[in-house]
Order: sequence, then C-alpha cells, then structure tokens
Amino acid sequence: MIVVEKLTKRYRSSQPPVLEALNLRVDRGQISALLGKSGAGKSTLLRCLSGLESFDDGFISVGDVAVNGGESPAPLRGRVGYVFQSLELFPHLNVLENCVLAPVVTGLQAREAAVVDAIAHLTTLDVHTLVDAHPDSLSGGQRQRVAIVRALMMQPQVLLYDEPTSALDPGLKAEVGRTLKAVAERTGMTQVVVTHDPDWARNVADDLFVLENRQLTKIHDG
Amino acid sequence: MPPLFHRWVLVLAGMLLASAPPLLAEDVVSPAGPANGSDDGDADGGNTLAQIRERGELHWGADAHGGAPYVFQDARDPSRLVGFEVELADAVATKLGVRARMVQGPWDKLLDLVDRGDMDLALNGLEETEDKKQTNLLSKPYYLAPQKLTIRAGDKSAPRSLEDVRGKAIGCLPGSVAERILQERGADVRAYDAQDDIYKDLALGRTEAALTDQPIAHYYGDVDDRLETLDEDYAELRYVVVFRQDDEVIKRAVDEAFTALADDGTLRRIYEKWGLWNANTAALLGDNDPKAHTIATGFEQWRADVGTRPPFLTRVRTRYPKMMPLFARAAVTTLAVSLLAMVLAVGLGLVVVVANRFGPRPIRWLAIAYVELFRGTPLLVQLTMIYFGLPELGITLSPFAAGVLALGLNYAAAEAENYRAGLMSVPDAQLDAARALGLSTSQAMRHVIMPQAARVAVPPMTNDFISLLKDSSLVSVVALTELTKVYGTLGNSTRDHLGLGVVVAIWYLIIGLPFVVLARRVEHRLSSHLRRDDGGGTR
Repeated sequence: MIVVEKLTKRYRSSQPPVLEALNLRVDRGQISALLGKSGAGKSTLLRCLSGLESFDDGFISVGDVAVNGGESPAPLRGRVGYVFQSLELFPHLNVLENCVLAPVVTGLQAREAAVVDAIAHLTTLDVHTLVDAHPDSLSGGQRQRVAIVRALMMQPQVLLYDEPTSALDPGLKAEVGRTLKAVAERTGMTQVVVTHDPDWARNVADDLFVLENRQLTKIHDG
Repeated sequence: MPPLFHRWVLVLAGMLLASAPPLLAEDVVSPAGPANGSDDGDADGGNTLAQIRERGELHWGADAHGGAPYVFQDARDPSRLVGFEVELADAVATKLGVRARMVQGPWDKLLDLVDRGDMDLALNGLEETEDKKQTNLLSKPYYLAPQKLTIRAGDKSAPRSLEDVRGKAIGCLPGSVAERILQERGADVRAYDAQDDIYKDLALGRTEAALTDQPIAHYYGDVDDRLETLDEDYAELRYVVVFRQDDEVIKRAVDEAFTALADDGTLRRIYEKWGLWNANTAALLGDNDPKAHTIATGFEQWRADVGTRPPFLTRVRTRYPKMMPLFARAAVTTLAVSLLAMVLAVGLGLVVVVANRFGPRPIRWLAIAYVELFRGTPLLVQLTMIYFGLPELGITLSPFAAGVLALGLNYAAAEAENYRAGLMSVPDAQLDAARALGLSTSQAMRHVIMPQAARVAVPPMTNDFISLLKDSSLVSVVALTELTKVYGTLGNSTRDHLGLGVVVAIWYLIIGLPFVVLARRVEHRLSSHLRRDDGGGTR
C-alpha cells in the first residue's frame, strides 16, 4: 500500500512547487490511474514515489518503508518497480539478461533461481520465446512486456507505469491493459499508472485520480 | 565496460610481459644502454672516477645520430659503432684502466644528460664556449676544427665568405658555434639535427650554403660532387670533453690521458686515419708537422661505403638484413614504451573521467584542469619537463620510466575524453532505470552504463594507441633508442634515408597492425547485438 501525505516538490526554490501538500492513498492490490494535462506533475509524482526524485516536504511510504529520494535506501531498493515511458531496456543485454541483471547484482536471487523466475514471468506475458533477442529487435508491445517482467523480477510491492499506452495503437493499448490486470490477478500487486487516456484508464483501473493545480482529485472509485 | 575493459588490459599486459625480457638486453645503438640515472646520478664531487674504476667502464655520452666522422654506425656492420671519437674514448678509457661504453643521447641535450648523471662525461664534437664554462667543467681541447663554408659547385650567387651570408638561407647544426655566427651575421639560419640533412638540402637547392666544423664538411660535403667546400677557415673551434661542474678528479684524469695520448702519437694516428689531421690541431698538440703521412683509411672506407649508395635491391639483400637486429630491439623498446604508456593512460583516464563526472566540485575542476593542461600543451614539452626538469626537484627518472610517464600522462587526457564521450552517449534515463531496479550507482555504472559507453569509447582508443605508437618516437629526446631513433642514426650513418624509411615504416606497421586487428574484434563484440537479432522479434 502507498501513503502520500502533504507532499510538496519544487525543482527550484525560486519557482512555485510542482506538487503542493498532495495526498494519496492506494490500497494493496489496487490499480490506480493518474490523469492530468502534460506538465501537471504526474511523472514527478511517480518519480517521487519510486525514490528517484527527492522532495521538499511531506511523507511517502510504501508498505512500512519511508521513501526519501536520491540514492534509494537499502530497504526500498526494488520495493517499487518502475516501467518508464521510454521503457529503458538495456540495449546491450538480451531479454533474459535484462530480466535477471538486477536480482542477481543486488543479491536478491542466485542466477539460477532468477533465470527460472524470469522465464516464468516471460511465459505469463507470452514473451518467453524472445529470451535471446535484444531490445532493438522487439516490437513496442513486446518491449513493454519485457520491461514489466524486468520490474517484476525485483518482487516489488508496488509497480509504477509512466504512460504505458502513449504511442500505441488501440490493439496494443488493450493488450497493455490486459497485462496490468493479469499482473494484479497473479501477484496481487499494487499498481499506479500515469496515462492521458481516460477511457483506457476507466477500463483498467480501480481508482482514477486527476492531477490538477498541484493536487490530486479522485474522480472514479472502483 | 569492466569485464571487457579488464580483458583488454589483460591482453595488453600479456603482450607486454611477452615482450619485456628483451628490454633488458643491451642496446646496440647506445652500447652502454642509457645509464641508470639512480646509480650514476651522483654529483658528489670527485666520486665519478672511483665509480668508473669500480664498474670497470667509462660511460661516455655522444649522439650517433650526428654521424661521421665522430660516432656512427659502420655501414658494413651496423651493430658496430665507429668514428674518431669512438677511438678517442677507447684510448682514454684504456689510460684510465677501464673499458669505454657509449651512452646515446641527443647532441643538444648532452650537457643536461651529463648533469643528470646519465653519463660520466660527454665527448662528441662539443665546442668550448663561455656558456659551457659557466655550467660545466671542460677538459683541455683535444681537437681544433675551423668552420668551413660549403656551397653548390658552380653556384655563382652563392655566398663565398661570411660577409655574404646576410639574408641567405644557410644550414648548420642547432646549438653550434656556427649557428651563433650565422645569427650574428643576419643569415636566415636553418638548423638541422642530422649532419647529412644539411648537405642534402644544400644540394637540393633548399639552402644557399652550409657552415659547419671542418670534419663535417669533409665527410658530408666533400663526398658529394655537386658541392664544393671553400678554402677559407673561419672561427677555429676547440673540441672539449664536458664533465659535471664538480668532477675535478675525472677532468684531471682525462686531461692527463690526452697529454699522454698526444705524446705517444696515438691522437695523431687517430686523426690521420680519419682524415682530420690539420695545422691547427698539430699546433695544439705541439707537433711541428701539419701534414698527414698515412692514408686516411677511415675516410676512404666511409667514402666507399656511403659516397655512392648501392642500388636499392642490393641494399635490401646485403645491408638491411644486418640492420634488422637493431630495428628489432628498437621495435621492442617502442612497443614496450607504448604498451605501458597506454595501460597507464587507460587506467588514469578512467580515474580522471570518474573524478570529472562524479567528484565534488573541486575534484571536478582538477580533472578538467588535468585534461586541458595535458591536451593543450605539446607532448615534447611535457617529456622534457619530466626528464630534465624533475631532477631539479630531486626526482630522477630513468629514460624508460620518463618516456612511459610522459606518454601515459598525455594520453590519459585523451582517454578521459573518450570515456566522457562514451558516457555522454548513454541516456541519463538508463541510470534511472538501473537505480529504479535497486542497483546502486556504482552497480549501475558497472553493469549498465560502462558497457554501453565502451561501444563509443573503444574505436577512438584504437586510434589513440596507434598515435601513441608513433608519438613514442619523441622519447628519443630522453636518450631512449626506439625505432625512429634507429632510423635517424642509420640514415645519417649510411646516408640512406629513403630505403631505410621504407624499412622503418614496415616495422611500425608490423607492430601496430596486431592492435588494429584486436581492436576491430573488440569493436565487433561490443556491437554484436546490433547485428545478431533479426529473428524472434516482430518489429
């Protein structure tokens, strides 16, 4: 579960905050969608949740661990998965290595166990035939699923998605929606999705929030 | 990058180890090998003679690049050094009860090398001047040489005396008395490192005349039918041996040896053999007979060997094979200096780029200053400062260490910039992605950023290594005999620049090509995924 209380974030002290005294609560196993105009601060909120961005005031916790931002503290490492808008698969590694790198390097799993888990996740999302392929040779949808598997490999409590459907055709958008639901069903994971597409969000998410004027408003309650 | 980087370094180190032992072998061009600066570097007045006797060898400094008739390679057996000063040094050493070993050094740096302790003394056509008296102890003169003006035969517009040289292009040796005379007379002074080049350019019409010591004019001017040396003598020069300022004991011993050698006729015999006996020297040695009475076998041999060059193919068959051991040893030196310098550059470059990208602000500034300083100043200046400048601060490096250090420090700046370009080619979001997966910054650098940066950084590194291999020719200024130096000395000793140029070019290619091939393979591996996957995905 995610708790955000009175979160304030400025990029420069001379400028008005991007987020101001923002509150959010997402319960375990829920899919929440964040809507809002470009520049409203959706990605900033996501980065703060993931620990990639520090913030000026307020409190964030994921499970029982407080998030501070900057170099992620050890208990947080891997607790929050993040699927970037540009996915950021590692181009020099094949699909399998993209998936097993983090659990092995951080000591979460031995390599053999990580490979078994990766293949299981890749099979779930139907990309298990691509283990030897490099990211450059995958389609957009395949890359998306590999990025999700890569995030799942760290066994996070929360998975964040930054605009996973932008630049996808309607068929692929529906596929991503199904993937999120499948993840929720199989892992019971808490998921937060930033999107521009209200219709897609209504179909996929349990809760919908709009980020406007530095504040979140809940507009749909699943 | 690290796994690959390690492999790259390991391969370099392996090749270096494989090539290292011959380094210890004696250097043929400078038979003494550069003397070890630390054990010879004693400037403790008077101890030098004791040291010479203890080691049983007189380390005398000269530059074989200068050529005949002083110290040069025998065209028939290039592993042998010959010349009247070789015989003088042998004779003096015999009087001291030891053997003579020549230490190679650039002529215009011989005094510095004596002061550094790389050699016991310098004996190489060094003229007695007031400047030298200020800084060093000088022996009594052992030879007197007038200056001679050489022109193209039949050139009506050529200067026929020093009165005519104003504004004219005149060749001479750098740092010589002739150069000073020409400057005072307003000539357009052209200084050449190699004696042969002075006369080559004169014959080709690039200069109007040459002003050098009589022995040089005799050996390089008189053997060329297109040139004519004028009769008039100018500014008699007195050749002296140069010692360290406080080496009074060895100076006295050498002076006594010269007196004895003059008295027993050894000096006259040597000068006559090399065609150098003249009235001035006769007077100097107290000999009333200015006329030579024996055939100048040394000069005649020289004229026969190099006066007219054998055809290229004959040289390829008969001469060049004998030179191969010299080139081979020099190639090992070139390779060893270059490889060690590159290992240093690769490692230090990494430190610099990490400091630049991730250090606190003062460290970042230091890293930037390092790159700009070493990239923005000539390698030759850096090398000279390290070799000749550091001893002033009490740090005396061997020629090999100084060469490796200078090249390594210089190229580290280039490598740091290569790495920086590589790092900049990896989007920041890749670091975010790695950190979001729980990797620490150092883990992200090692497993995600560096391997991608290497793809961009490795190709220019290959170029840098080849450049470094060629820049290693600069280390000859610190008395290290590498390929270019051997080419220069052999070229000057045999007056064969074109044919030997082809030989030395082949040597550079031979030692450089394996690294080009290796680098291509590394590049191929680094970018293999760009070609490997065309199946599996449905783009």
